[in-house]
Amino acid sequence: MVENGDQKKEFKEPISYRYVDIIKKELQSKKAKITSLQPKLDRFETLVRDLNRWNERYTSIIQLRESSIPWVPVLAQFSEAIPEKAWLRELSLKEGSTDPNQKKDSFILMIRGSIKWEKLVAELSLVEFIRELEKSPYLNDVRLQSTDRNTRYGHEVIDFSIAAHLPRREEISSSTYTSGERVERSGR
Amino acid sequence: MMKFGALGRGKKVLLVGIFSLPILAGFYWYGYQPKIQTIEKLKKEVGILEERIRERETSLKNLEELEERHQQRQAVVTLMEEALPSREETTALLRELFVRSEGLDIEFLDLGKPVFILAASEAGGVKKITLVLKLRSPFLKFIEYLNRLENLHRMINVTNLEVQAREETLPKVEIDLTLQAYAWREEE
Repeated sequence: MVENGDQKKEFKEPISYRYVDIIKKELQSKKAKITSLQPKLDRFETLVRDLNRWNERYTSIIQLRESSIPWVPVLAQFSEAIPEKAWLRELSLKEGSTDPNQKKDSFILMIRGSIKWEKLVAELSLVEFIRELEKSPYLNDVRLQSTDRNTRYGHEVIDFSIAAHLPRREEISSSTYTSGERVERSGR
Repeated sequence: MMKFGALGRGKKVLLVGIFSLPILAGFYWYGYQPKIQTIEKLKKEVGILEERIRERETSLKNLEELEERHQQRQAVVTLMEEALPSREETTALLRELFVRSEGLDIEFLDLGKPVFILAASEAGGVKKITLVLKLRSPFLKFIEYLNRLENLHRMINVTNLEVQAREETLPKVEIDLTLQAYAWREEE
């Protein structure tokens, strides 16, 4: 209907220079309107550009943080869990995984230490130490790799070696299944 | 009926003039009036401008909201500049590393030369600055040191850590610490 009306109107318009002048004036006023909007539009574009740039930077910061290893709680829990008569000899990090299904770029924390040997007490303390490490949300797949009777500082000791998967922050926050498993494990 | 030839010269000229005037007027009308195509072209131009104005006005509806958001983010931008500065600022970083060790009985055995690596992150560009430090410190004090580093305004990630306990330095341990700081690279 509107289209027909428009056609009718168009048809009725006299084809004259006066009509051309009217359209030209309209064209001028539209151009003026666009010009008047330009400063606001420039401001709009600046704002959008700034906000996008800031978002990119913010995303980078979050990505970098999420890809980091939460060392402080890892080491704090480790020092809390270590048995009284045990000490650390070496703590190191290597790339890889204790589990072949885990991400390639994950890390293994290698803990080497010694525990003063007393019949049964040393073994039990070591087991307790591993259980404490297993409870940590910052360590996964804790495994006792080796034990060795040895003599250090004039004492009989058990040298032990423990490996654990060290997740990045992003893995810790997203692994709901694993944390559920941990709750169950610690509740046992 | 009067014959044309019988008319006087003046009347003949008058008659010819009277007949040729409408013909000339017709030629003038068709020759000098604007063409429909010209009008159509102008109308099309008006339509394009109208569309452009509409688009701009729609964008500008959000201008106030954007201004507000821009204002709000200014505070975050300052923090982001501290966390991920536009310049490398390694001197300031090294200073921070020393200052944060105050009161913690930490010895810097070796302060490696910073290594700069350009690395593109998913959003924008990030320059990585790697520092390798060799420290000697009691283990718990070292954890406190790490905690202080994690709480720096500038973002630092510990990418590698190796702790060695030697009989001759106990209770202090020797630590090889690899740190990564970052600088933001604006895309050109």
